[in-house]
Amino acid sequence: MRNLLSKIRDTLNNDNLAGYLFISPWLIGFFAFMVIPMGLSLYLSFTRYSVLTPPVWIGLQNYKEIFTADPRFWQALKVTFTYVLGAVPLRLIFALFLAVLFSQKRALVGLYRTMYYIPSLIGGSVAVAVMWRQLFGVYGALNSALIKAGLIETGFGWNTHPKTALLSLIVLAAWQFGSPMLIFLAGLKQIPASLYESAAIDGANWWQTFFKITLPMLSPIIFFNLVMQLINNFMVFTQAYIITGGQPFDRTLVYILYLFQKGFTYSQMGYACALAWILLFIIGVITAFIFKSSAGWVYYESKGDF
Amino acid sequence: MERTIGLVTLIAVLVAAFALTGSTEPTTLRLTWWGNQTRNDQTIEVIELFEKKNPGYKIKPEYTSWSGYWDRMAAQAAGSNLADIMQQDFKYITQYAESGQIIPLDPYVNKGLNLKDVEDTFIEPGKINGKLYGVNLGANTYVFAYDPAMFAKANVNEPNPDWTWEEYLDTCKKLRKGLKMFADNELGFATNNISGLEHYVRQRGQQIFDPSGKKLGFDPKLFVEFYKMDLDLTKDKVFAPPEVRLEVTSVENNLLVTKKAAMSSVWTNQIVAFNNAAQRPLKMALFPKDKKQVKEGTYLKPSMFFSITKDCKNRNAAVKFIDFFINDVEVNKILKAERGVPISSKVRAAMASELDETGKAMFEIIDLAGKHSSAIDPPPPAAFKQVIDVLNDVHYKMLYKVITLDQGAKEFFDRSNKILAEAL
Amino acid sequence: MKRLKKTAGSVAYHGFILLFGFFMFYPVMWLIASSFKEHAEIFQNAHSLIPNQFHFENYAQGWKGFGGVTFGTFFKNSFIISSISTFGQIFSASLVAYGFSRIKFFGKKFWFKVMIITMLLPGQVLQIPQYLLFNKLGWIDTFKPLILPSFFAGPFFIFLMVQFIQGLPIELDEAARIDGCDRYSIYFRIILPNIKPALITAGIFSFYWTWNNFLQALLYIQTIEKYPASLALQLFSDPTSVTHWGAMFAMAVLSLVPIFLIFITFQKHLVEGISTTGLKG
Repeated sequence: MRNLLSKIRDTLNNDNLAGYLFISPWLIGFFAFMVIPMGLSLYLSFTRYSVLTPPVWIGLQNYKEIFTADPRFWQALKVTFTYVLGAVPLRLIFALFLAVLFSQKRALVGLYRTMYYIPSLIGGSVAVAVMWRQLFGVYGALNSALIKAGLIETGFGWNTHPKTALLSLIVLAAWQFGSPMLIFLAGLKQIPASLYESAAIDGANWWQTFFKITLPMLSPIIFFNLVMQLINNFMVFTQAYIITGGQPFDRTLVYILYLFQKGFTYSQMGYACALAWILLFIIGVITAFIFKSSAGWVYYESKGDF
Repeated sequence: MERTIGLVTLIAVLVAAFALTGSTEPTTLRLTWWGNQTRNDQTIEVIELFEKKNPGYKIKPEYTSWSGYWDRMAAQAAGSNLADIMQQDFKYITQYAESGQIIPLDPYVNKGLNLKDVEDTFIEPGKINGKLYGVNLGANTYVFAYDPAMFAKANVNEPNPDWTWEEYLDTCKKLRKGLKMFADNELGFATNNISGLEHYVRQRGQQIFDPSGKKLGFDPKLFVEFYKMDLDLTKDKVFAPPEVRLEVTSVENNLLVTKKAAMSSVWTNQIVAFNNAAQRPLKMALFPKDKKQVKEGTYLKPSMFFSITKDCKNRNAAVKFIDFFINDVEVNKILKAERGVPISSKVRAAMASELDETGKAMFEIIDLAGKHSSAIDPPPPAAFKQVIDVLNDVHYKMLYKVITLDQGAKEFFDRSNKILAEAL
Repeated sequence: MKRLKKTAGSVAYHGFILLFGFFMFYPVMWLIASSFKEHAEIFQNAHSLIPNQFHFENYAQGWKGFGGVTFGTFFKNSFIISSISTFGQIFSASLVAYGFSRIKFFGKKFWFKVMIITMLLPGQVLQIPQYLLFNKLGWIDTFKPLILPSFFAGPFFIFLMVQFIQGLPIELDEAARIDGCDRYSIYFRIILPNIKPALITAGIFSFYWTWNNFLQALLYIQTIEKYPASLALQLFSDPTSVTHWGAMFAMAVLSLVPIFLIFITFQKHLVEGISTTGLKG
């Protein structure tokens, strides 16, 4: 009996079995909820599918049309890349900067963290859309302030003018930097105090400590935030959908908004699936590149060898 | 052992009880619609009335907001899980009918579904390829809502039913001059909407869509004429500039409501909302006539429909509910014409005495529009929504002077025709 | 001198954070103010933070809900869905993350890549296929599609925890192994306590993402009595007709309260004290 128990224990501690046991929740979920839907969406990308009628196989036609005869696809890509290039750095820099400020032990710091985090709790509801329109609208708060200050004479449509509409969405993204900030805070908390103590004994100043200890020790988290922010901002949808709806004339047509229009508004779900798999490929390449590069700048206490 | 027997007996009793209640289970129907707090509450009140008057029937309400409604319908249609009765919209009904998701109601007309008191003009718009797929829930038409006090202040005459485009433009210019504010958000339903252009095209005896549905059905010259009016008066600040128009996204921030304009194009079933939001008395006027017109541009449009889906098991029950909804006087007193003016003449007559000011105005304008209208065009092709988006796109490009009016006309026709030709 | 410098630094710190914080917080105050305004005022007196008159009845009208189902029910549903999912998410994701970051097993690199790739496909195109799947399983109009998948570890949370576990020195595990711990007790006794900040962060995220999740609920929940608050909030608005803005804002503000409280309760664990993580374990 005792023998059997120890045998079971040994088997359970076998690397291969233990590995699969630990990742089994995800693995089972993947096979149960993801494999079929993902496979279906790939299949649908080779069909004409209105959702209301059964799909019809058309081979590569969707892909061909996207690349050769769809100016709105290229417009959506352009808008999305601009958005990502604006929003991701802004969010990460704000998040890191404020996380460092808020990780200090000072009076009121808990209150401050909350104050800066609340905007992100509001998320992308209809209330946010109304709020953003009222703040940056022609008759909104920003314009009233600018007019009072004598900087402009009449209200400017920040959300609606072709030159600034996308900018206004980027500002909204920058405003909601709470999630990466929170992750940075958790990361900062994990850095062993002993490292800072020995740095203090060596007489290192704040900057030296920041670059020699904080940044390297935080690099796995920076890497995580970078990857996730890239993925999430490439897939931005709600904010654009509720605030600008792609207006004016596709100047804020982010990729997923276009995909959504095609799939749901215009009932071209096959085409939308093709768009989705193209986006997967694009983000995949970028993500792979970042993963590759991470060997050079991410420091792990214990690398998990991927 | 005894415990086991006890348990088994208990289970047996429970199963039997369950089976018994199952056999007397009422006929249950799922009913789905989009709406707001008012419509949701009123419709639920109607359901309760129906259940009270028809024991043995149960209606399960499933409602969402407009923005999520069609996503949910698409998923349910794909899963053959649509509600028994669904609220339908003019923009979507063709697609749902042609794909067989909703069923023709002709076999039930006057055999369960009483349409004897309903004029043909109200029934026709629910027909696709000659078959009735949707029961009209209320008559609707597009009009101008305006603030008579502002007209008086600017010393401008209020519109009469026979006014022309020239008089309309003249009125707008005078309003601008007299009030130093916008006359309107835009030229009547020219923005974010195809109804203004449609009105203009119909007056010249043409249609937006070719009967084949594969291309546009009107002369590009009409597009140029119509949008020239809008662009010219926008330049003179008679109508709001594009950045302001883009911000008008709900009744509550419409420029008429926020007192930045003297009039606004509206659908008649929106007038209650406009009156509530504006908090001052508004009046309504028909769209202008054309000196060269060969027929009336105005038409009566269904505000929305009820349709029965292919997934409905008990179709007679569904028909019974729809019949109750449109013909019962008590029901329509609860609904207060929130979905538009009731289509049954009997119901309208019974309601007339109890209407408030706004309700009366709505009934009167529909009556007036009926006298100055021609028959509605056939339902638009399924790619309709895409064409409207193209129009919107082109219109704003012209307003922001990215392209000229002639380029706009060409772009609108090229892109729309391509979309229509490629659509199935 | 040194003290003066310190005071100056302190003033600069608080001054900067408060000034910048005003811009961060202004829209939130606007939202709260709007929840007390009459709906016309929300649009006509947009930049004022003080309502002309406090309309507390917005809250009453909003709470009343639809057809006799109040926001009490909607909040209860949200609470059930969010708290169970969060528990499932944290538990399962930490297990999987431990497996990926600490155990060498055949096919690990492959599965990790697959996991990352599943995050790259826009969820919009999975909606219909997943609906069909859950429909086949008979899960429509139940909480199952909203809750059960979180027990199977979301990639975001796995990846997050993997990064945190990789930040722990391997010596921690080895010391425990010498003390006679096997993998399973290392996970419970060493890893979990040491990634507490990550678990808390994940918990906060999971809770409020589920709380705000509108689309899944829209597709899978049909019965009004089962609507979560995120879905019920949408029922106020109708762009073509009356939107009950006052009531909507009131309930939007109210629905922030629980996630706000969760954040306040847990955020202090993120910084409180200085980390003691070290070789001592």
